[in-house]
Amino acid sequence: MINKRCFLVTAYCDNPEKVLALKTCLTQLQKYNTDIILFSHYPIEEDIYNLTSHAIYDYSNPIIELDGSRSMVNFMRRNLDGINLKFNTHSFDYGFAAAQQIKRGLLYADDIGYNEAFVINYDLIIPDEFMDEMNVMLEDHDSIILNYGEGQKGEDIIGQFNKRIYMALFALKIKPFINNLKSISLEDYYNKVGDDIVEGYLYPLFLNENSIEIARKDWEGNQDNRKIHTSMVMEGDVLPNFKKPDYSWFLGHEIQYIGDKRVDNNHQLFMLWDIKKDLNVEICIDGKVVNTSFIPKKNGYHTIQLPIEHNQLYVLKDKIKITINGWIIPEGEIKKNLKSSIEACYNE
Amino acid sequence: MSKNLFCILSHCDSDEKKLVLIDNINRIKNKGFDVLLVSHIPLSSDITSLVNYFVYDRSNPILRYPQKSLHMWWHTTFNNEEYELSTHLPDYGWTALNQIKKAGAFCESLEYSNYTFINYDIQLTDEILSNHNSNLLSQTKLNKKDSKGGDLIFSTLFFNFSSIDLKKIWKSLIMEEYANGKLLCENYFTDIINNKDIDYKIYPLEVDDQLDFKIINDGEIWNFNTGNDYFRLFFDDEVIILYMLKGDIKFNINDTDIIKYNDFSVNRSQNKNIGYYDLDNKLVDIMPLLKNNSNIITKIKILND
Repeated sequence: MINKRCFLVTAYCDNPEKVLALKTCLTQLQKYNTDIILFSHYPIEEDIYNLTSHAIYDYSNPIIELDGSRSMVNFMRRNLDGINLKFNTHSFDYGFAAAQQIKRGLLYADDIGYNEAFVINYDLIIPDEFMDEMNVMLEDHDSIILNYGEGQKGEDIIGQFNKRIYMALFALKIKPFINNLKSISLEDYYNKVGDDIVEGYLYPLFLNENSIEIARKDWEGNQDNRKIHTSMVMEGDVLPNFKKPDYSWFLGHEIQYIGDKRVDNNHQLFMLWDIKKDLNVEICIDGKVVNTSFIPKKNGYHTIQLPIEHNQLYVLKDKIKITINGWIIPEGEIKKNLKSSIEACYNE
Repeated sequence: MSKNLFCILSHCDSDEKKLVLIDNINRIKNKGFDVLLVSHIPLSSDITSLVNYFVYDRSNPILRYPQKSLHMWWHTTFNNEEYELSTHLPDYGWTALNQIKKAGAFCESLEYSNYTFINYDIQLTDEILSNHNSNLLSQTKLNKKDSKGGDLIFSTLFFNFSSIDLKKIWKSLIMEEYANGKLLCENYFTDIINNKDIDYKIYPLEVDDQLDFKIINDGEIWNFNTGNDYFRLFFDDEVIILYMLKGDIKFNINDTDIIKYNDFSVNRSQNKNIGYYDLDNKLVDIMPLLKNNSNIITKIKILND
């Protein structure tokens, strides 16, 4: 029997750049003469349908909001006066939404008669040679997993989990994984993901004794010669979120690293840097002014320790008002940074 | 989830149809129901963003002769010869069943307890827009013009099934089986349900659609002369029949004028130019009327040969 194959393209294209990336991806896939199922959690423009055989728009998009249960870490690094700092922010956990897309997309593909699928993120660029390699490998294997976790350790606090699936591209025969696909649910995700991310949650679900794993170095290539890569950066540089014309700001709790040991001292810090003009800062908590500071331009950066502990921030989040030269940090920005942290003296 | 998911089958290739669809989506949403929309043609995000789920399938599997068609025939006599005229119209039945199949497949990973299917242009009522908890099949008039009641037939305009029974139904819809059988879409659908021993109630009220879909107007099935009523015209690949002439009419066939009083036929391959003279004695070419319509296959057979 010849296996009937499809490409399952997963998408969330909420701006013109992403829509263009999706169109480019779908257009490039046409040359393989393989049916395309597009699965999107964002409405699809009419002309895109013509590039697909099947398309599904699913409104549900189950993003786990910042209720303290789950979040995604993004970070940026700065060196201020020789002190290495790492600013960690937390955003919504899109992981389960992505897992659900894959679940529903693959189950649909199976139900309408496809036996094999290449799961492809909308902004992925795959060289022909790599596609050919995967094509050959899928003949003898139930799934092809591009290991995503390995190599991350040492770069990222959460990089300690080295068994992860690269969700932007993997291939599988669908039937052997039907039960695993059906097991994906929000409850299961909460139960199993722990401190890991969705790539770690999905990894065992697409792995069996007849799977083949490709090491990260073998699919990623090096910086000068990327084998496959995405054209969009979902959550890359978070600095712009905190950048104002005359300064940058950040609200986070302090984490120190002493040797390899992480120490959370529960201090809640407010930090300013890249200061280009004199700043007047006022911090109020529950209607009371708890700090006023004049920070001259020449200082370059400044740190204020709030008179509350970090774990009090969740309770007081609606009652904190920080004003910088008359600009009040929006309440929403405060709430987005309830879990944010500033790592000092982290180990290189 | 306590509420049904309303699944809308659609093929909205005109603004008129899209407006009806949008109106029905809004009416369903206003009642608090989630909506799944299925289409074989792309729809704009203005429409798809109104629903919870949109399933697009490019295939639009219209069946045509000889695979399966809607076959009509007419026995008649022209110039003392008995003819059988027959027409094979495309069968659109599987397109609706395919939409049910695709919607059913997608619903496999959803968690609604009941699925209410409607056609995009159904005349919605408060009774239809309610939370159905039992399997239902609806009926519509066989002949819409029959204002005095008339026969009712099962309809795919509106039906409701539990998630368990929907699964049994959509998996049993098989194109080859439908194409090879003689049943119409609605009969095939109800046969599947009966063969699976699925219990259902008949929805007590008659259902109807808002827009009338016809592949061809009734008056044009046996007459392709849409330009005037001087005569009627029917043809297949070989023969052209001109019949029911209103009085004597001067034709021009292959550059020769000839007056005809009665029905007549001409061989298509031997007659490349055919026209008639109108009331102003102006020659009107009828060759454009003889262009084959890929949707309609016609056959002419002389029965007393």
